[in-house]
Amino acid sequence: MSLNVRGDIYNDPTQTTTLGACASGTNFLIVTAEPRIRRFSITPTSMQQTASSAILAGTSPTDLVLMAPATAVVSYTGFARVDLYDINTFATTGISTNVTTANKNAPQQIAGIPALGLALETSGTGGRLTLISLTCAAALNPTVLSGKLADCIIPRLDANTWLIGTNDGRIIEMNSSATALTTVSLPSAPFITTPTIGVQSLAYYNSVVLASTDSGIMYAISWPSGNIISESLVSVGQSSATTISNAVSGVVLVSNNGSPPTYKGIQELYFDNPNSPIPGQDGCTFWEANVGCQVLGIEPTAQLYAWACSTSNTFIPNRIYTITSPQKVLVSTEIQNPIGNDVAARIIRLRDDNDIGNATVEIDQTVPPGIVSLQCTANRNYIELCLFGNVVNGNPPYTGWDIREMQS
Amino acid sequence: MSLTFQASAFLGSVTVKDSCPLINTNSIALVEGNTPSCRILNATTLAFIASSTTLSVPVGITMINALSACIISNSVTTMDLVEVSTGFRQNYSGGATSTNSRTQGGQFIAGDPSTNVALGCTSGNRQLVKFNGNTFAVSLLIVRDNSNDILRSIILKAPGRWLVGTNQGMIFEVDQFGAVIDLFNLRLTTFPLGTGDNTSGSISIPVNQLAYDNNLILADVGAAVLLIDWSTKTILRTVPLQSSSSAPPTLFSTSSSGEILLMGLANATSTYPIFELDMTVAPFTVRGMSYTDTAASVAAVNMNPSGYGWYIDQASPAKIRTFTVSPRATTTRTFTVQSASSGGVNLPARLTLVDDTSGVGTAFVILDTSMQSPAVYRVPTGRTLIEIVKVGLGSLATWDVTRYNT
Repeated sequence: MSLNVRGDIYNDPTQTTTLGACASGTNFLIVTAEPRIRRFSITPTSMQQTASSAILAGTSPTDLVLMAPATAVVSYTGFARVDLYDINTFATTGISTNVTTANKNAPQQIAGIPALGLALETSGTGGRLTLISLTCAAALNPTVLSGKLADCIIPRLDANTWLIGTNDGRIIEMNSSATALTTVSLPSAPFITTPTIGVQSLAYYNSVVLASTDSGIMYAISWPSGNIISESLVSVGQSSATTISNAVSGVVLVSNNGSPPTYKGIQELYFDNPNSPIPGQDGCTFWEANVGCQVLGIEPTAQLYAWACSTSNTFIPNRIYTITSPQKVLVSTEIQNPIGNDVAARIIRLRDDNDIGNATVEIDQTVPPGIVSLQCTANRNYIELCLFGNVVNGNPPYTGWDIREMQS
Repeated sequence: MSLTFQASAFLGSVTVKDSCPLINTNSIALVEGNTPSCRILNATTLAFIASSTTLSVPVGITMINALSACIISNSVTTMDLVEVSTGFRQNYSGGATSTNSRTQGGQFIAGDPSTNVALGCTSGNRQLVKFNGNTFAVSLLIVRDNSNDILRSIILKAPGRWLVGTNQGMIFEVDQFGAVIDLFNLRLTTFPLGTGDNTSGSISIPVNQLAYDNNLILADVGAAVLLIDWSTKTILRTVPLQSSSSAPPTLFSTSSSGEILLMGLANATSTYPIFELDMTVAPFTVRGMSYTDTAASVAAVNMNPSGYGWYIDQASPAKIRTFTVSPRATTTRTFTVQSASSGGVNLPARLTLVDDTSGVGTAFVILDTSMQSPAVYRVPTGRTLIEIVKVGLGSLATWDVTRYNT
């Protein structure tokens, strides 16, 4: 269990719900239904509000992301406008020219690429997106989206492109010039009646896309080949969105805004092995109330906190968790047989968090003789199995094995 | 995909409460509450074979042998026995007045054809109702445990053995006399519903649905579905399959070849899928699914060993859809871990099975569990597995690794 409650933040004085959140270092920002944008300082020893600013009434904020290192942007479903906030001074720049309302009241309605100073917003107008810079906005009408709506958008930060989930079951990778680079259609068969699949939430890490749909399935997809790696069941009979948080080193939080019969569950999953048929479960925790959760996130710069915000204005609006670092580290290994004689071997590292039942293969590869450093996730438990002998390209026959438990 | 839609049929203005497969024939028995009646259908053609009136407010039906189905009510103290080929009905007294704190979702009653006995849940504390098909007697049993839980779900585990879930997080294994053979108290475990964020004190963990195959249990407890190793009472995985519906949020079929069919009770979209899950190989991955054509609540989901599955909705008129199910090719394997230094004493161990069929770079874990030797688990056939066994903890642990084809 690596999700530990650090503390709760109430949206006083009106206790409105939180509709979007993002973080940069110790700065944690939220936009609420009041409407208001607030900034908090989150450290291991304190959580305190450091800035607050009212937003024009009636705008219906829907999401909040970082679009530049010091700039956050708020999107709205009630007003054709976006507001840019300097996260240090809270100075505001409103942009309305060429801006439409976002598609819906849901997470991932706007995405930012801080390295480019750009954001991309969904639109309630079919076939359209809005590209936002630090000074202006422009309409994008990619042909691939013609007549359809973007249901969610996330940035692909390693390529400075955008991943878009549509209301007809497709995931599109697009650059900022509206050129579609890859399009993958999620399977819609078998069926009794042809389904219309909505892609509700996305995450990306290391050539794998996680996509949750309104049919209750979370797909892991090899990107850009589009091959389905796995289909996991994440909700049943669901009328509301399953949300996947931003991925940090392959770790995500997953929950949804449906009101469950008893307690709200939040899973911490990792999907950094593209060959694993099921995402590993790093942790799972439950709220003590029948409320939904649609705003989730992980601070990306090793500040070791994450957040989950409820859809209730009576239950705790913002819960901050201390998390185990999702960062990657190198851990060396060396195989000798007999002692003193380095040999080639096959290494299978099983990540072994959250007790028995959750072991997942994180690494499966051959290594040459000598000391080799292999990537691990920091501060996690592993079982390392090595198979050696007449190894040809790592394949059997194996004549020996060794095994160890370790912490990265 | 291994789940293929076959046929559908309207059942008329009925409110179906439960269904079960007939034994040795590809037929379906169901009970509905409007008339109320029991109906037998051919699973292939969906034609009616027989029907009969039945007791009021029926909620559950099960086969006690190849000829007879036993029906339990939520309002009368009697139970019905129906001869399934003719629809002949006989009523027997001696039961309980209400079955359960819930009124839908099935698993109110489970029959054992090997003993001609059915056990059903009642609203009394730890109280089961028993129908003995040998003596045609109905009687009440008290599960011999010191809790005051109400029994909420029941399935047949093995001949002469039932698994019973309660409204407060207990799972009992009982015999036909109500004797507790084994038990697991979820409230006393490190199950995160009790120890995670929950700060509200006493909590309820209703065991709504159960499925069992070779030491592994799937249990719906409302907020999550748990995978449990029954040999060591270890919760292996907790997956919050949240739903907007009322309890039980999920409906399980009986397991067949280690697989179950699963649906949400209340489905929001008209095409919401029916899922086929493999309990023992990478649980919670979707082995098969089919988008459907109903947004109504679901009354019953089930399957038979012949590879026919179905679900029945609560729309008006109600409708049944059938599917063929092609389970993964599997076999059972007995895992034995014994102490060489202590005269072959069976030991508890950690067992991890890694599928290595496709070679380097593609290995993945199919089962990771805490077992009590000897333990039987279902494994896929035609695969190459790496078996890792760990005995003991920390620096004193000993390991064994074997690689073999199944």
